[in-house]
Amino acid sequence: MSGLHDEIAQRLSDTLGIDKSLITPDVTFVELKIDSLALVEFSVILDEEYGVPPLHLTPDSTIGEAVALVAAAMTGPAEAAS
Amino acid sequence: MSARSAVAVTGLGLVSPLGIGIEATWAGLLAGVSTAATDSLLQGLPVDFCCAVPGFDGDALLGRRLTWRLEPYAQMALVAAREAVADAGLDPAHWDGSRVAVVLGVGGTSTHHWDKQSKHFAAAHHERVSPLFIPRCLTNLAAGEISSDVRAFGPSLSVSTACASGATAIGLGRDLLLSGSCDIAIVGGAESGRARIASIGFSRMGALSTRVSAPAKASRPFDANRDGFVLGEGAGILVLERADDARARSAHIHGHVAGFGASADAYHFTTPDPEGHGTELATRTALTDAGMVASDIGHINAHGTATPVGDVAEAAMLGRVFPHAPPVTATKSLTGHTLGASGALEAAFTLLTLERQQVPVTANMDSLDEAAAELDLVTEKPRDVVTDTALSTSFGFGGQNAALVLTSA
Repeated sequence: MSGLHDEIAQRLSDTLGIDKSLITPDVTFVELKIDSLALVEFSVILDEEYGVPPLHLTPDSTIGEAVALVAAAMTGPAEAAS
Repeated sequence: MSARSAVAVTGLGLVSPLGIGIEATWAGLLAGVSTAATDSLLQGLPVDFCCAVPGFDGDALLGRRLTWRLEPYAQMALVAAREAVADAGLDPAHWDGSRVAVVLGVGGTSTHHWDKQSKHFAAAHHERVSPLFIPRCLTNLAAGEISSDVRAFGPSLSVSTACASGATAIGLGRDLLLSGSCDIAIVGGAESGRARIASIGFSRMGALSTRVSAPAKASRPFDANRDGFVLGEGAGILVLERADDARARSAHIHGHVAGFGASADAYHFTTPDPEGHGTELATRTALTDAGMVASDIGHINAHGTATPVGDVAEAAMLGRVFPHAPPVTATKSLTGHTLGASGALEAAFTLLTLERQQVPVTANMDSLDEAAAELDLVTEKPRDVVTDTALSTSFGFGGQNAALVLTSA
């Protein structure tokens, strides 16, 4: 698992109280009992922390998909600028 | 009019600037020292002090899985509700939740999150506005959270009569029990005024003490040099049951809610009626409701917020209705004004006073206002009393009043 995965898992744990040992790349938000409202709240936090635009996540998205979207959003503007 | 049946108070849960839990609270009441202090959260504001709950850590007490969505007042309400239910010796895993009601007094919208959200509004960053903005504002959410937490499926609601809300909730919960709408009523109040917007808002009304150089001296009910109230925070929860039901299960009974009176000043939207007609009506209604007369009252926990106008009106009313001058205390001198929680916390303080036969002091009494000369205020040290009947008064902005007659077990 990547450093970004660990970082996002930590934020999920800190903000929503999810047990970190349950946060694997394959698990979905709904499996972590994160409902759509909590997911929007987490998306707002990611926006504030990493400056990523609102992510197109659903409760059925996996953590791995979320990490990939954050990674793309973080590198995207930099590539465009270079 | 014949008296209504008294209901038993079988559980207490207390979170206040005096501490968390019954014994910490009682120790704070006996210590008799104001909890007001400069607060870094309020740094840079005209009034930068308040009465905070010491060491309140909702994440540690309730778990982040629950607290991520809860305002501080709602966290305090849940902690107090769990304590009250446990104190009552009740187990939500085994009760008939459909017969358990929740009535919570909440004075106003929680504003802790507004600073941050308003920046996003102002910058038109609408996608950054928290989806919790509305749930955190709703004054009924904490009542719903209590219902969920203890699996209470009966009537669940919040009531708002500003600073009387906690007492109003106790009275209405009592009525739900007596009407047969429930068998157990979890009642009380919760609010946190420890927020930047609350401090600015109340200070713009001229309601707050501005004694920034000596916060511990700021909350001084009935003192000649008072200059307003001090914001506080907390939650007070009581478990009520019909007295027969409580006796039948051999529950420990802290005391009884024997009478409730509610009234409106119908005078002004924030200023209390200087004649105190409305507060007198609530007080006399509570006495009648309990089947008592004024001389039956052996102790009064006054509303006493330390506003110049409010204290004078209350002192005149209490002097008029209770010429026998029972010992009076104003515990907001210790806790500050916990707003929607105050009526419930003070009802609990009064029940503890009756159980332990000691009246806590009114702190910061250096020079009794001559308008309160007829009151026998307890100052300097707690006073031993022999009484089984007391009154707690609570008056809110909007001229909404509540009075409770409380009796020993």
